[in-house]
Amino acid sequence: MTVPRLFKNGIAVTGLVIIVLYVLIIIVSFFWLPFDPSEMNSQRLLEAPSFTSGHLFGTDEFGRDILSRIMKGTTVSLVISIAATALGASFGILMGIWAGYLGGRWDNGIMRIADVLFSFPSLLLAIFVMAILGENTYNVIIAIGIVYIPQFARISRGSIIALKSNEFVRAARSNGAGRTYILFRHLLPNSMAPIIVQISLSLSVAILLESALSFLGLGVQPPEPSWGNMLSSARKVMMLAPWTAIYPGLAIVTLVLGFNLLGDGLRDILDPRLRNVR
Amino acid sequence: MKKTGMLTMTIVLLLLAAGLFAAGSADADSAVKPAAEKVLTIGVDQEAIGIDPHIVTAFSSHRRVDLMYNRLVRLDENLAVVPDLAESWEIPDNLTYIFHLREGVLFHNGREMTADDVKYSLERIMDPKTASPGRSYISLVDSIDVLDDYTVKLTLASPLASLLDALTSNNLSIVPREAVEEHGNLQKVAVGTGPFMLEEWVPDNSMTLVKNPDYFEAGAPVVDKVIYRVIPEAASLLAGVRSGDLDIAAINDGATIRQAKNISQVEVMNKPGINVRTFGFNTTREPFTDERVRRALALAIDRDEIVSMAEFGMGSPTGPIPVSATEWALPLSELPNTSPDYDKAKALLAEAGYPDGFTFNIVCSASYEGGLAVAQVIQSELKNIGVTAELEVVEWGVYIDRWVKRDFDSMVEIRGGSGEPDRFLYRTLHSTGGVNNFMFKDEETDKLLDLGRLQTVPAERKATYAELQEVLSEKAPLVFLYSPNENHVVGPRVEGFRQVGNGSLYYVTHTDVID
Repeated sequence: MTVPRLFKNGIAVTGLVIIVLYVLIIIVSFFWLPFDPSEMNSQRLLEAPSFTSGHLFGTDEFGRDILSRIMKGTTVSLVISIAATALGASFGILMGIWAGYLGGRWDNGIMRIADVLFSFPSLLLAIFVMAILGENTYNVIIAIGIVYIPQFARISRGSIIALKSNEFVRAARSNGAGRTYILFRHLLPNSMAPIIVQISLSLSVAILLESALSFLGLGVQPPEPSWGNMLSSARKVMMLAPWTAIYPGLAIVTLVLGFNLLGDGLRDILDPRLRNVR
Repeated sequence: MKKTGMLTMTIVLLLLAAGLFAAGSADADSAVKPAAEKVLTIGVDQEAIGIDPHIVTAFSSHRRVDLMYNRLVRLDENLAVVPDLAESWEIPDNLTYIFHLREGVLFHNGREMTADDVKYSLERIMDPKTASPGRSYISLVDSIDVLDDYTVKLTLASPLASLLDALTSNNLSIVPREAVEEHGNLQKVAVGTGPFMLEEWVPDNSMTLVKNPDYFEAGAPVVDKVIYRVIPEAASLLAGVRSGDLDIAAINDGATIRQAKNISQVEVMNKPGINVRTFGFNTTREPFTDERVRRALALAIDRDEIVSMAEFGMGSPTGPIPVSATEWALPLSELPNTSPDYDKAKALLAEAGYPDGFTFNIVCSASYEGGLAVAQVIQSELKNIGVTAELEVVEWGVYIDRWVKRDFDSMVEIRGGSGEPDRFLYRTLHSTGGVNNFMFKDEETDKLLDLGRLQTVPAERKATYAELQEVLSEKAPLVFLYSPNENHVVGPRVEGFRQVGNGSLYYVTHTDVID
């Protein structure tokens, strides 16, 4: 039902195409890269992009091929983004739907925890978590995941509260269905629309957060390439060799755009109020 | 041509804050009638934090003191000790130093400088209440005796052959008692014997110095005025020199220097400074307890590659003594284990019980001082001998903490060196040294370091430190990698400027500007 409608929505399709392209890049990067992304070469420092040298995107200050590093970095960025969103979404949704369904003291308790997390700006909270856990790729996932928990909790709680007084819920209850059964079989599937949109938008924000953390030196650690730490090290040589900053920057912009377009498109498709407008 | 010059200058003036106007227009005047007054403008990236020579610690403050005060002795462009206020000196035994002062040297207030001022200045520095960083340099001085108006004798509690080098510090400048008593301290006024006198200081903006007409050196200084302008950004400093607004600017940023080299209107002067980038081991942790392992790692390191990648080529490979200290430093080619030899390195590893290499951590930080770029190059070079280095990139505060606690397998650092081997290596590698973070305890090294302190005859000292350099290259508690360059970007009008190597602007005294 939803899937064919997705392909009719131009915005969502554009987003999807961009994401699929990046997934293809990841698949290719497992089998083939133009150069070894961590191979340094003192003879080719900061070379401009050129076809003849084979460095299509130029080289960085260590003589490493920027294209290869961006390709390798795609895996890092996407894996972090997906894993962090999955982590944040699963904990957040669990917290949110129980809070919304049980109400009362449970609701109050769970949502106050979410409020505390919410009161920190997300980048600050992520930096705070990284400082405690230490700097490595897994901790980036945890840090971004923690940032996401309250967002998912709020959204899922809201939709459960809106749904739980509906007739079909009462019908299920009068038929003897248990709490857990009702929650996961009736309520959750019906509240998925806003959550799916939130997931696709969170994927793009996760890429930005990862880049920001790596840019600050708190995220993915060298020599492992990530778009954020590539930008960070390009900062020093940007005026001399603009390509060191332009290409990783473009990679971030396009993938974030892809997720945002997909998210916007999904929102249009899944929003029942907009359903009949088209 | 002149019209466009004036136009650019007007635009620059408009862009600058209003407060800068006074200084700027003085500069513009000099462009109109060059014969009248010679003005040299120096761009600096930081304002001075006080200018009392005995108190200041900031690099920016020292660069002002350079031109307003004199010391007993100073460093020349080869980092060798040469006469300044002391015309000559004798060292009858290694506990006694007798200085013969120049006669007729006048302070900026017109009074003659005598041996009493030397005694007063050194005593002020040694007084804990002054809180002078120079205090530790002369802590072994037991007594200061004025033999006559122009002769002063220092007696040491125990021998310290590097005393002369210590006395070249700006922190040991000679000041007049009455000025200190009148002003409380000299943080905001300058009454020295130096080639230039303080005329005007507009904080965070500019400082204007005028020629000292009574300076003791005939024919110096050459220019009539020196203006310091505070411009915090390296790119703006370069633009200033390019437009002719500035004549000299000290720029540290490697990328900016590389840009400057492509600009024909400016000249980039550089020479290796006295700081040393090091890759040091914790000699109490396995496997670095074994000197064969340390030597093997030293043999995997290509210093030239590190300089070209991590420093944009703006540095010189060095051994234990900074390469700019030509008096002491042995050329790298004469020291063992200073160029890559993978076979020998692998053989040493096998001998030490690591035929398949091992894994260890390098602590570094993302700032320039933290040496992340250097660590990355080292990591890639060590792959050649099968050793895996993992980078532990920590935040600067954590980096300092790890350094203080000596909690690391290995660490990339930048060390403030000295052209005087005792002053750099004793604290760094003697088993009792204050910054021996490698926890290196070696009898042979201690013996040579102690011996060097006793020897006041240059030739004997030279042999001691030559041997020490070999011992250190062989035992490799740390690998001395390179000395970053001291860079000055100089405009076309400037003639005769020379670099010292410790950042000093002393040679502005002998610099001319030609229009």
